[in-house]
Amino acid sequence: MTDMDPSCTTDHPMRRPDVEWVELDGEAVLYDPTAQVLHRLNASAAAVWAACDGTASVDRITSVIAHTYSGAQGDVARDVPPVIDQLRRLGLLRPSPAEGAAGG
Amino acid sequence: MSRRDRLEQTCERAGWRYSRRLRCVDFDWSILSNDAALAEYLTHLYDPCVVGSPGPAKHVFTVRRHANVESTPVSVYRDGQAILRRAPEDLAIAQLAWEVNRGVVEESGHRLLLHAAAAEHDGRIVVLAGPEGSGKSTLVEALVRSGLRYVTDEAVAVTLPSARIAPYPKPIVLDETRHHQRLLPAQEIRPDAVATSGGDPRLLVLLAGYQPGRATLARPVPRAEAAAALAEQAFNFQDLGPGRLNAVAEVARASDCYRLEVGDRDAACRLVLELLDSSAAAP
Repeated sequence: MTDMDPSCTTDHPMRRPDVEWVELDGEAVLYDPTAQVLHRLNASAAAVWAACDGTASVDRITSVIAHTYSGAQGDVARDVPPVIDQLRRLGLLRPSPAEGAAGG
Repeated sequence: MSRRDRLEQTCERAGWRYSRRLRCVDFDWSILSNDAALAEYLTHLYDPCVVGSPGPAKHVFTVRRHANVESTPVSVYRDGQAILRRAPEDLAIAQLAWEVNRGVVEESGHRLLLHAAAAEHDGRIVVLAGPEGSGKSTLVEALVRSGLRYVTDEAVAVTLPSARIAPYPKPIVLDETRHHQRLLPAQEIRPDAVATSGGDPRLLVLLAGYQPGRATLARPVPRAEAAAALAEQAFNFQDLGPGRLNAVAEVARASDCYRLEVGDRDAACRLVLELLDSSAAAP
């Protein structure tokens, strides 16, 4: 499992507004026009991405995803922080407050 | 006066003749040549694209046959700019065909241009997307010989937002040998082989890959996978600007999507026909 920045549990991840995205049958395709790179997200990652609107904390997003994928797929919720971490590493989310402060 | 105007006036005074006007998607062009037979042959290659009587078009290819030069007798100019000087005739023809493709891409405007071949059957269009060497042209030729109608072998022009396809019935480029290509006008396969419209926006998208000697098979893929692949293969995805991803998604939403591994052309052709039948039978 990927190590996670502790700040991710308290911040409110937000999609970069210039990243274009579409939903197709539950999955998502993202296009980063700055990097000129396409990304494809599976259904659970797409749900996380859609929830990253800047209003919900990681805990809240995890809770929503756990509810959405209740039952046998409840483990999906465990993957929420790593997914957010990966989206952040790919530069698809706005920098977290901690990253912003570190960047000056 | 522009270089193009000076060149064309000089040629016209010398008795050169314009071909009929042609339109490839949104690229409007004609040929001005001192070799009537060569101009007629070039026009024949693009016969389904003829839209008007002889005369200058928005873009003019000036094709000069040099006298007393046997091995490299042809020079080609586009809008007054030299693109090939004193070349063998077959190279000049291939270069002109390449320039027409370039013109189609440059003037695609609001259309999404997918790097793909396509053929139509009962209003349903098979889109064969894939990089160079994936066998698109070879397979589309086989499909046309099997009764489908030819749409293109190079650039599928999708009109937005309807996702309808505009035919680009250029000659099919077939690899004869490693270093020689043959241009085959689809109308030579049979007179009614060319699709006259893009049909309904109901598509069968096949992400083609050529693996000689391997089994030929098709497997369904999620529309998101197909959309990402189509975007990567599009000629003008970057240039379309915001909304480009929705354009690709519209194509995927209108499609049944498969990854097609082509080990054998005839087997692939049969498989595509089966997919068409099965998708036509689906509710």
